[in-house]
Formats: sequence, C-alpha cells, structure tokens
Amino acid sequence: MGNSLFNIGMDSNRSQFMARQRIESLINLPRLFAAIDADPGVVGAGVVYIDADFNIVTLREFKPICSIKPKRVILREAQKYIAPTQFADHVVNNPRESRLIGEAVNTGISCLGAVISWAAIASGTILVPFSAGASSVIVVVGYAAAGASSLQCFNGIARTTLEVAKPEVNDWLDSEGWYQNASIVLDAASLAGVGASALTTVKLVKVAKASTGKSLREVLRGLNRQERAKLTKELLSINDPSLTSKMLKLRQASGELSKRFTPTQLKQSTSTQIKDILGATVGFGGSAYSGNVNTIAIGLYEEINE
Amino acid sequence: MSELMTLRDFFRRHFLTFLGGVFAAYFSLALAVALAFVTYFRDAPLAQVGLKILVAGALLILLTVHSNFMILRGKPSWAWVMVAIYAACLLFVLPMIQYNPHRVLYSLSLIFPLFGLLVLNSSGQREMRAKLVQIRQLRQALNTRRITP
Repeated sequence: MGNSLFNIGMDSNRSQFMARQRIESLINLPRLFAAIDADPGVVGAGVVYIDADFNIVTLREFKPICSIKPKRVILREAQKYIAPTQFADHVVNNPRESRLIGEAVNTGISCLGAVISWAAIASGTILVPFSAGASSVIVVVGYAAAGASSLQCFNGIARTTLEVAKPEVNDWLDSEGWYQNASIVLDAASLAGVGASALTTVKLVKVAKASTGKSLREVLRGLNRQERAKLTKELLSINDPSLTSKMLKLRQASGELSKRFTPTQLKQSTSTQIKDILGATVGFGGSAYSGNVNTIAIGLYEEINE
Repeated sequence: MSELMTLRDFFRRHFLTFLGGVFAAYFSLALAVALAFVTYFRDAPLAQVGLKILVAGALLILLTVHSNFMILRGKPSWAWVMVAIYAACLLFVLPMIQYNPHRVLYSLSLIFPLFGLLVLNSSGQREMRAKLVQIRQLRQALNTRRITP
C-alpha cells in the first residue's frame, strides 16, 4: 500500500482507491460542487458517492454553512450483477489490451439488442395480418429501437476496430460532448423501445441488468428504510473509522448516534442540475463499458434528532 | 393460408439469414468507417473530419435499418438499396490497400460486403421476400375491407 492517501485514512483499501480514481475521472467534480453550492439550502453539503461495488467515496466533507447538522448528498450507482458487464467494468482502469476486450464485450451486448429489436419487428410484421393491426404498435416502437440499437452496434464494432487500428480516435470520441450526448439518447431510445415492445424477457435482460434486482423506476425513486439504515451505519463509520460495528450499535442504541438519517427532498432545480452533470457520466459509462443504462440514485440526507 | 409463413416458420427458416444480411451491412460499414480513419484521413485532424465520417456512417446505418424494415414489410425493391450499400463499402475499402492497413481488418472489411451480397442473393432470402410480399397484400386487403363498409 504505497499510496499517500492511505496514510491519512481516506481510502482504506485498494478497491476504494480505484473507485475514487474512476469517479474523479468520470465526473466533473468542480461543476457538481458548484451546482450544489448554488442552492442556499444545501450549500456546503458533503458529497458521498457509492459505486456499484459498494465502495463508499467521500468526494467532499460537510462544511457547516447551510446548517450545523451535517447534510450529505448521496449519489449511489446501481449494481449490475451481469457477469460480462462486471467484467467490462472491471477493466475500465486497466491498460489498452483489456480495453479491447471491454469494447468487444460491449459490442456483443449492443448487437444483441439489435438482434432483439429485429426479432420484435419481424414478429410484429408477420403477425399483423392475423391480429389485424393490434401489433403495429410494436412494429413502430421496434423500428425506433432497431435504429438506436443498430447505431450502438455500429458504434461498438467501429470502436473495437479502432482500438486495434488507432486507439487515439476512441480517446478523442470519449472527450467529445456531442458523442456523450448521442450515447445517452441512443441508450434511452433503445431502452424505451425494449420496454414498450412487451417482451418481458427483453425487459428483464435490460432493466434487471442495470439495477439492483429492482426495477429501474424503484431505483430512481430512492432508497428505502433498510437501505437508509445501512447507509447511515456506513456513513457513521466513515466519520469515525475507529468505531467498530459493535460500538456503533451500542452508541446507536443509547441514542448517542442517530440510527437513520432522514431523507430530505433536494430542491428540484438542484436535483436537475446534478443529474445534468451526471448525465454525461452515465451515458459515457453506459455506452462505453456496459452497454446499458447505469442508474444513479440521488438523495439528500441530514441528521436529525429523533 | 397454409402456404403463407407462420411466425415459427420465419424464425426457423429465414431469421438467421436475414440477420446475417443485416449484420454483414453493420460490419461492412463499421469496418469501412474505422479503416477510413487510418487510411484516407490518416493525416487529417480529428476535430475536422471525425464527426463527418461518423455521421456519414450513422446515416448509412439508418438507411440500412430502413431498407431492411421495408423488406420485412414486403417491399422487395429495397433490397437494391442494400446492394448499393454493400457495393459502396466494397469500392470504398478496395483502394485502401495502398495505405497498407492492418491485414486482418482489411480482409474482414472485404469479406463482409461480399458475404452480404451472397446472403441477399441466396434462394432462402428470395423466398422470404416473395412471402413477405404476399403478407403485405393480405394486410392491404384487410385494411381496405375495414375502411370500405
């Protein structure tokens, strides 16, 4: 453990260190902090990012400006249990050879999406005469999804090829704003098509992959009671690394430490701004390395005395 | 109705070759675009040409999707658009040999358009297109009957 951060207790293990590196390279942190500080209600709030592998990274400590009691903005990335995706994610920080594999895995996933939408269109078209028009909705939605997933597939093949022939082009693409925005639009279009084509298996593949075994909507709605309690525990142990879990429980029971942070609503505008900043990240991560939409839940948590 | 295609027939007999044609087009276009970066536009600055190359590729992909969609809807003349796309890819890639590109990538970018043309010309595909025309006529007959009374 040769890294300097380890000595000041910021990153307790290698995986957290890597997570911090990744987040800092993906998110425009100054812009994110500026968006949070623009809202008088949460100015100086701490920012905590929890990634898909449960690495908790404190991006910024709380400063008692908006209130004395700590307030934190929690950004939580949804888990992906699918093996190729995990694998692709795993190679993000590795050198070029493994990036080639990452691109190839991603290409496979997006091209599978294209196959599925063609199957949906074909079945819709052939069924139309017999079901007399009932399935033409599927065809129309499938058409958009086929367009989007074909573009993703094309993008994947071209990127894989370029990774062999001229990797600089891929780096250039990743740095371009229009490319990141286009990726978000394509992800959304193919996901909408998949959702509406009423093929439950397809839905499962796409949505369950992106979320914590819950539906996309549920993840976006935020964290539930149990998750909040767990999160509180994790946050308290970030605050005081010397605290063992037993000590934590005892002190929570005695009321010295709070059991659960209460969720408070972020003001809509701030939330939208944060989402905008994350949007680029989500699209980039989604289309470049996992081929599906990464979900990030945003919540503001503050400690109150119960 | 017995000579018409059922869904199961279609997926068992024609879907794989249909996908073969579609994906041959995807691969030809993607490889042609990727190779364009290392050959014709090797020395051009990315900021100037990159977006244009990719947009051209993306538009051709959308054209591919649309023509295959029309073929599925029973308009077999759109197959000529596919022929044009394969031929264009082939002609675009062939002269790249003078830039001495990556051997495997270059040969793949020649094989995919040829494979696409082969699939498009196969008897299975011709049969499928003929059946899809019948299905379209049936669909139109149903529609006019629904409108007229």
